[in-house]
Amino acid sequence: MTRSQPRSTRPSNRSRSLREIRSRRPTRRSMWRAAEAATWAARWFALRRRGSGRLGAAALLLLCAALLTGARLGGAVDTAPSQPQETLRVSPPAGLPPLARWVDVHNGASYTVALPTSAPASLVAAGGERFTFTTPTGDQLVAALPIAKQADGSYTQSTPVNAATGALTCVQGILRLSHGSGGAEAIVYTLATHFDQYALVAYAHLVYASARDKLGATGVCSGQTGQGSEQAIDMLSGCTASACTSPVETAGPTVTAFESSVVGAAKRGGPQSWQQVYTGSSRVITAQYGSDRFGTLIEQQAQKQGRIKSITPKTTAPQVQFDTAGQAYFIVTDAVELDKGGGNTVTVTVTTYYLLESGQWVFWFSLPVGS
Amino acid sequence: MPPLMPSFAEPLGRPHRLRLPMAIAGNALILGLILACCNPGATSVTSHGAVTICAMDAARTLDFPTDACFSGTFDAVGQAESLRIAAVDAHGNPLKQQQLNVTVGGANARAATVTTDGGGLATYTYTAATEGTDTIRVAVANDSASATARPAVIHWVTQRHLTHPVILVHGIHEDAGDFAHQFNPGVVSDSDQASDAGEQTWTALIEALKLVYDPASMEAFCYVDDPAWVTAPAACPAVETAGCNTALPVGSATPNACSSQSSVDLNAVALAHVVQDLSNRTGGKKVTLLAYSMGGAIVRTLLAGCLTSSGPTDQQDCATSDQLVDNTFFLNGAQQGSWLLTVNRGLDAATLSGDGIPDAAHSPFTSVLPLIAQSINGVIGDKLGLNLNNGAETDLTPQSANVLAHNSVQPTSTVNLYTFYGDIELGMAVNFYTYTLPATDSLPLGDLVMLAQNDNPLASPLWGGGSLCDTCGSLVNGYHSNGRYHAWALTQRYTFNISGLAPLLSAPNAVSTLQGAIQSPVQHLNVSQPTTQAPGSAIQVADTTGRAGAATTDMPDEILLTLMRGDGLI
Repeated sequence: MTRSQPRSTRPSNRSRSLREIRSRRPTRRSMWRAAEAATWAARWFALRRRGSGRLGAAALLLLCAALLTGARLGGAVDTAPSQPQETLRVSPPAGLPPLARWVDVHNGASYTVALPTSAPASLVAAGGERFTFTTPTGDQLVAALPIAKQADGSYTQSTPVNAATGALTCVQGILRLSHGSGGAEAIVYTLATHFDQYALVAYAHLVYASARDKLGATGVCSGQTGQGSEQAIDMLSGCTASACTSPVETAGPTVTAFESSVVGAAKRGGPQSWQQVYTGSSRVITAQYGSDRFGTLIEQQAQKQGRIKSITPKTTAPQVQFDTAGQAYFIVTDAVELDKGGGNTVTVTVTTYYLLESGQWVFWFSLPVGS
Repeated sequence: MPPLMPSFAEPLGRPHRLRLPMAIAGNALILGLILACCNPGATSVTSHGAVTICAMDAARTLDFPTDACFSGTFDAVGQAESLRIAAVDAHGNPLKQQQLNVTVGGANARAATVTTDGGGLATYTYTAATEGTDTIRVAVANDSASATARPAVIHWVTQRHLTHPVILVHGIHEDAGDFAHQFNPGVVSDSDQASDAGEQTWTALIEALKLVYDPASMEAFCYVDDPAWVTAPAACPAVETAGCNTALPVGSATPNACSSQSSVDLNAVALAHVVQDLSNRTGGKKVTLLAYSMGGAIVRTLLAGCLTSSGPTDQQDCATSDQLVDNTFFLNGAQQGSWLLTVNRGLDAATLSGDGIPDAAHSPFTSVLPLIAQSINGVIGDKLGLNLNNGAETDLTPQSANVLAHNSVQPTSTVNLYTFYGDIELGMAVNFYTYTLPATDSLPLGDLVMLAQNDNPLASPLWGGGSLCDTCGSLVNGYHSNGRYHAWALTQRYTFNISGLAPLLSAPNAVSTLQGAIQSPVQHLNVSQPTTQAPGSAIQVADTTGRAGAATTDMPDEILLTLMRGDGLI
């Protein structure tokens, strides 16, 4: 490849996962069954061996240490109740979507995969399901690989694993190029992905090189990268290489915290008060308005329509849903009390949509009821 | 009067305290109406009414006389044109026996008075003696506020009978018989068109051309699998295969159907033969090509020399024919393919990229683009009959072998290239609880089928596009040019509220706030409709000839004037 695509600035899988494991604090939410953890540890360790096992023992020890401290590994997420009863409780989705979509909002990479509507217990599809991996520069790899269902209910999709070495086997593919005079590039690549049992959060790691780049292609296939122009790209959407965070558990607290921040900002007043609300919003807002502009616009609306005085959830247990494009969201209905001044208030019922964006629930948009 | 009656009856059943105020209000209304009735010159009713005017589209009148009145038309100097006028009051009721003032401005300025009939309708007929453009406005007598919101426009053209061969190359899933019939209704009868007014597109352009040029030298290109082979065989020139070529590539979804979904390559070679034949029949004159949608890809392939065709003489035939072309007008042409096909082949719509489209990592539209793509696919893609297994769809996919080939070389250097392309720009407002945040960023989606990119003739972007203007610089009044390259952007801006997309979350074909953009007159399917093409329509383009009488004019007028300028007629 001759294009000047930047290499991934993230640390390598191995060093990153070690740091993440070290920094993970034990919580009740992250308690996990040892058997499941062992399964995940063995699998992820095998996937990341890349033919060089010098640090294998050390990594395994660290993984075990992480388990002892309660770290959560792998793609399955635990939806055991852990929130106070007064907190909004969000139910997991009823089933897998036909199409699952994840975007890493930090680098623009995305991973979508077509899912069978009825998944057998052990192996979802032997022949392979179509996936699309989009690089941060917009180049796209469309191919099909098998999806495997794990014992804990989560899923993996990856290029084949060499049974002898445990390393990922490289395969050939076509990368559709978004820039330049146009065209496609023959590549060799390895792909390792995992996503949770609801297809809400995912991690994908693509390593590829142009088929014309002999050194790079050899590096991709041997797992010994750095000799050619290989590219390594992560797509993190609620999972790292080694762990996932349950978005089902965080949904309720997110709403509570967000609504609280809205009421608090409204009470304080002034454009600067809305920073926390801004950061809890989707890119529909953050990519369209700067923080200051957002605060100013909200304050202008407050002047015209009244200041938000309180937000009271009318929904008790919303369920996560998937839109037809594979994005996860849920809906909360609120009674929004507006202070019109002079002691006058009005209450409006509003439906608010929360979108799962890179594994975080964020405010998406509102829809006044009856509109 | 009638609508007021129920309001008088209702208070009878209401609490007593409401009766007196209601009675007073009712009496006041009655008094007002009595005064209005006794004073015909008063305009209290009509001042909020409306007067509309339209002109008959000659081509459409032939088959659909009751649905042929649009914002304007082309007429021959010396012929009479009848304009239809309708006047209604504020409630939409016809204004009967109402005097209307008609004012004609422009090349044939004049004034007149007409009176509506019992249905609120009137006709104004006049004959022009001077070539040029007239603008006709109507108002209720003594009520200038009732003037037509949009005047009618007539382009008066001196009728000629010159020979300048023209071939219209239609789009995917269309029927050449429709257009051949419009060019030469006495020669080509089209059985299925008579029942479908929606098939009568490009009528204003065809009528404009026929006023100046000999219809016998104008024809519609029949795809190798064109429905015209069945519905209107006379539409297809003898030089083409006598009969629909159903030998479509293996894997075609409709291998035995005549549906204009055969490959671009096959059709480019066939077009080469038609161009040669028409040029020969007109004494060696050069041919002008009008190319809509897929027709644009066919013409680009021809002008590139049919590089991916494999027949023994294909490339030679194309190389010979492209020297016989003088002008090409691309009308929402598929220069680089359709982004809808990119999506349909599995690429992620959320990461759409292109000229003016926010980068995926910093775009507010990422979460809505897949929904928008689905909605457009549902409404427009279905009408286009898109099926990925057909040769046409394969070739029209951005970065297909066909696109890469014809965009690997400059179009034939002797051809003037005129491009009109849709440029719908979406803005997205956001409801934040009870507040509405305005749209700031813009998402340009071209004509919704072809993106408004890429001017470079040698570019083949991942998501395709419909524009072409080599090194033309920035647009000025929607137009730019460089030598033989000329391009007009048909820019329309729409703002939708993201909350209005909520229905799409569970139903891709649901009605949403995207409807405004989908119904845009410059949307891919709508650009050919009479409401977009007719003189006086809202879609205006910069006049580059200086002969339109104004800085802007409609697309057919600009095309006609450009051809006439090239032929030394103006």
